[in-house]
Amino acid sequence: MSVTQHRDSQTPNPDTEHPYAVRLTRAQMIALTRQSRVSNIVPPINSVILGILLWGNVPTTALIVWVALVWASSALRWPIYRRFDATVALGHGFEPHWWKIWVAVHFAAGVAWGIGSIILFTEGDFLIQAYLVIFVLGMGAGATASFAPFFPALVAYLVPLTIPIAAILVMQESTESTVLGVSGFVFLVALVFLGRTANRGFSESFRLGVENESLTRGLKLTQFRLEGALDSMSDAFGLFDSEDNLIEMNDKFRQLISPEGSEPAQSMTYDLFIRNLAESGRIQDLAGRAESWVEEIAQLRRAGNMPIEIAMVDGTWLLLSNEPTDDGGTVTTLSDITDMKRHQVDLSESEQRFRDFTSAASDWVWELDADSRFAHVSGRFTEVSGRPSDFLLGRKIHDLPSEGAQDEWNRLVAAMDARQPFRNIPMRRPRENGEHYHFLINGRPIFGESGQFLGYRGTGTDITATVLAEERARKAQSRLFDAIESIPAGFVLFDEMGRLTLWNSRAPEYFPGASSRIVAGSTFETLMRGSAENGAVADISDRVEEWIASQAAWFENPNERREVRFSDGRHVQLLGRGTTDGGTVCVMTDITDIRLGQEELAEKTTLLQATLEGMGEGLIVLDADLCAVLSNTRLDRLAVFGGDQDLVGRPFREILESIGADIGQITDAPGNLEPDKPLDERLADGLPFQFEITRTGRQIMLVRADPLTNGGWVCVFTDITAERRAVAALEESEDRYRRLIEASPDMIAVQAQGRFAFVNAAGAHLLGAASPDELVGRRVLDFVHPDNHEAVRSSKPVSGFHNDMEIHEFRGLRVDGSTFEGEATGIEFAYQGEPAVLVIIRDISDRKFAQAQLIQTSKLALLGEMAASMAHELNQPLNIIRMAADASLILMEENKADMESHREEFDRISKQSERMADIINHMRVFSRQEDGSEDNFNPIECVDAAASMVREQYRLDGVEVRTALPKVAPRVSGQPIRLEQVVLNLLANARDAVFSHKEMLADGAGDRPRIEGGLIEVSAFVANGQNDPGTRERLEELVINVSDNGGGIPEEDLNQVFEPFFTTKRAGQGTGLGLAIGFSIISGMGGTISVANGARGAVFEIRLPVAEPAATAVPEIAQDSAADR
Amino acid sequence: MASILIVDDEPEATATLSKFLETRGYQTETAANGSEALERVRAIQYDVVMTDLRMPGMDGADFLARVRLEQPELPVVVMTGHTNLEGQDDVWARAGVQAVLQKPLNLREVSEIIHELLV
Repeated sequence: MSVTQHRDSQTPNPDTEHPYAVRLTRAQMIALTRQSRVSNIVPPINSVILGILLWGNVPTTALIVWVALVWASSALRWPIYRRFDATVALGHGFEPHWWKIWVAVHFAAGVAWGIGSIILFTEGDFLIQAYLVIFVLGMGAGATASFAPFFPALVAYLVPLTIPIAAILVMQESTESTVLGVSGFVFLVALVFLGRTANRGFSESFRLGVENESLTRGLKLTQFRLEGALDSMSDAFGLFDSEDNLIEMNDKFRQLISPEGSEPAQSMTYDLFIRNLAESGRIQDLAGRAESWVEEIAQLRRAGNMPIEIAMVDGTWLLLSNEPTDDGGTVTTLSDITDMKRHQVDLSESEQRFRDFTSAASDWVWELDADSRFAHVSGRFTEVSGRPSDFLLGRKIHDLPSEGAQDEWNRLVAAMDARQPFRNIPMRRPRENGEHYHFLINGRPIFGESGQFLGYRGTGTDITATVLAEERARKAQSRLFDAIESIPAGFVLFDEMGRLTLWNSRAPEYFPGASSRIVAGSTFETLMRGSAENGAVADISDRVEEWIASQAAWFENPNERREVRFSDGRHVQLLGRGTTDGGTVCVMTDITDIRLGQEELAEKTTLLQATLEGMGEGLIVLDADLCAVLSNTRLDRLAVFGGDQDLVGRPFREILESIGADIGQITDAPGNLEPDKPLDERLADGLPFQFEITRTGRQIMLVRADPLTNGGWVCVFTDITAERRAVAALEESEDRYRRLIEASPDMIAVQAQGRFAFVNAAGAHLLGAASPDELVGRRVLDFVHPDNHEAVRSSKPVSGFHNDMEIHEFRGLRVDGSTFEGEATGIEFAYQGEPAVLVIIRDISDRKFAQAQLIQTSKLALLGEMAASMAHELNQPLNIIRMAADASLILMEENKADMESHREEFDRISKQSERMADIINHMRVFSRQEDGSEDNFNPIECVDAAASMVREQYRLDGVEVRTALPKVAPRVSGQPIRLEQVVLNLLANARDAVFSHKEMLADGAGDRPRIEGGLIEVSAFVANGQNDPGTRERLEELVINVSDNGGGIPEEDLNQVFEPFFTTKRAGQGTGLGLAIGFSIISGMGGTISVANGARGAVFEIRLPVAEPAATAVPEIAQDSAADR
Repeated sequence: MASILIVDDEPEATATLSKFLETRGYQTETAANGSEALERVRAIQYDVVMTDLRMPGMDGADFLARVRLEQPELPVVVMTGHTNLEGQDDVWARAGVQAVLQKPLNLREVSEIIHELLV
């Protein structure tokens, strides 16, 4: 057993360690250990004998050392043998290092013996030499015998043992020694070869031995197991060999043989076993006939090993059966069949009862006498009818009541009257308890030998049970029919041959076009074909046969529901089922409404789904457990849930968390009344609410939750990130603009429906209010001077910002009634959804004042500048007057004066005085005090006056002033003195330009400026201006040109010349305000002033709107060569 | 008989002055501007030139400068309407102007100065 196990589990691995170790099988090792232990004793003994023999012939010390060496080498081998014992017993392979030790030890032994040979060698003593060689050779032969299984050890031992001796002997000069040495060497070499051969033989034989041994043990184990199995069998089991000797049995069998438990006799044969069994007294009913039973058994066995049932006295039954084995033996089993026998008995009893019952239900016999009176009725009648047996005796059959079965009774009586036999006429009669019993009555007339009628004899057969059953069946069938008829479906029943046998009145409706085929015997396929071929089935026109085949195939195995759509639009569901008798039932239900409803539902669902999907918002529907039952893909597209997660079935809270939203970050949307209420409580409240979630700062979602009637919720997710950002940006922007507006020094107000809707702080300050709130809601016109009301009303705000926004000047009123000068710009815009006007008002009171000051200052400056030339201008006539006066006076003093001379001088004085008066007149025009009132005036007069004023002076400077002015001129609106001021300024600029141009030209020559050829041209004409935006009439404009030949203005300065304090003149020569003031004056008159470079110099152009056209047509411009004057 | 050139763009003025000086026994001629005067000066040797400063064309200052270059010894009297002549004597002296007369002219003063210049 253990061997087998070890062999199985620890077979030496052929690949490991050393090949030799592998080849050294367990068998070899066993041989080694057995033999070597014996042979190991030999060398020590030999060495002692040899020591005694050689004592005195060789050095004593060497002899003792050698003997000791031999003993030591032998002693070393013992632990190796022990090791072998241990490993081999355990089934281990030869451990690799141990074979090395083994070889080494034997090598040591060989060396010991080899050294001994040298020590013991006695020169010249041939006898001793020969003895030594023979002894050593004997040792070698012993070693061969003992080490042969392990060839390496043999070689290791023999080589050191042999070679020294052989070498010594060969080296002897003696011929005998040489022969001895050589022959000994050859012998030992031969021993080696012998050992090798023996090694192989040993290996094989021992391997076989060990394998046989393990095989035997395996067999024994198998047998043992088999025995165990046999013992555990419930049957007794015995094995007889071909000699009929019992060779194997189990415990049960053993108990049968010897119930006391004593071991049965060894020589138990089959016959003996049977005999023992028979004589044991345990077999029932065998007393006294044991011998015959044994014989019976033997016969049966010979007859073919028939099983034999044996009843035991203890009530059990055994089944004895024999089975021959392959080797001519017999397996005998005795099975306990008690239970089976018991069942058999029960069964036979039941059969007997059944037989009794059937016999009890058999007919009764009756006889009528010739007078048709009952003469005999058998006893079974009583059992059936419940009447006493003599109930009918003596009664005439014709007198019996028909009991409802009149036809049958008439038939019976008619047959009897006609002396006819009759068969199986069903009858029924009442029992005493009122129930009826049914029977079939047979009868035939009995005639005497002479043919006389003797009566009737017949039988009655009780068919009560059958009739009742039939009645019940009929009722059941009737109920079934009623049921079939009552169902709203079509019903058809086919028998096992597939023939139509039963159908309800609705069935034809379900085979449209085939109703004529609904007759008994039709097949399902026939009906379907009828419908299909008549076009009553929808959508199969191109595959009628295929469809019919499919229907027929379904009918063969009609377990699935099948749906058929008819051309009239009906949907019919077929439901089939096989009946227990092999037929098939089909129930056809009109499911048109269901289908239509389903289609409608599907359509609505599709619409709903499309609507949901089409929503711009994510949507999720929760059930009462707050788990998602529906969601749309928009929810994913909002990048909320990261792709294709299936949200259905997941709790809302988990979904929210999966968004990445911290539930703690869920904030209420604006408008919730209870801002800090947790989400769970809100969901519990069941009221609509909304909240916001922020996805890790990236996305803001507005979630609107609305409760459903079933306790669920609909949640709509809207991405309001952009909106929020826009709102934030808008707020920021608004804040920025509000600051801008609040910081603005100008009044900024919003006017809606004539009232202030907003006023900034500067506005409140401007209007003298304590705060802007005081002004909001008040009428705008309350803050406008009544003079300007109309202008303010008619002014139209522009619809957007432009570069040249129209600016309206007006006079405003403060809260306290004081006035201010303001300029206003209005822009249309929407304020809080209402049309409104944004008004920007600047307080220009200071500016107006400053401007007026400036104009006056400029005028004074111009006056001052002109004063010098005026002085010169006046000085000329004054000079002449004085000289004339002086000359006359001097001549009078010298008495040389004559009247003629005086007259001449006075005349001169008079003329020059007139000239002076002219000059002064001009001065008066220019210097007259401005009263600020505007009026229509003749602009040409102003231009002419200005030109005249400077002409003489400029002429002296070498600059000619030419004018080309119309004789008749229109009138313009404004203050004449101001226009004159502007023209004078332009003239002065022109003269300066000519001067500086000449200077520039002269600078190159180093000469003083020679002002010659300077020319200023002043012209005026009426031209057509722009259309009036209101009346669309073409307006006339008066154009005044002032041009010079001063070389023009550098292009880069052209657009700056009207800027205040811009000047091209040298420091001190000009204030830089002249043109700026001119611009302001002309603008104030509603005109424009512009400048361009002409061919020779700058050309200034003033355009003034004509307020009052000239009385007559404007004549051609007259060239007035005033310079020649 | 001393000759005097009177230069002024005002004809009435030159006529009046010329007539008066002739009554004093001087021979006078007139010129309307600097260039005209320069031509006369180059043609005739005058004893005194009386000139205005401000004239169209070549003005008096220009004319003075030219005369000084061509006839440094010619006595020149300047008549001017400018009022700010005080303290500028050395300027006039450097320009070779013998006398500066303020307009309106005082004819007594004129005759005295001419007399002094011609003595």
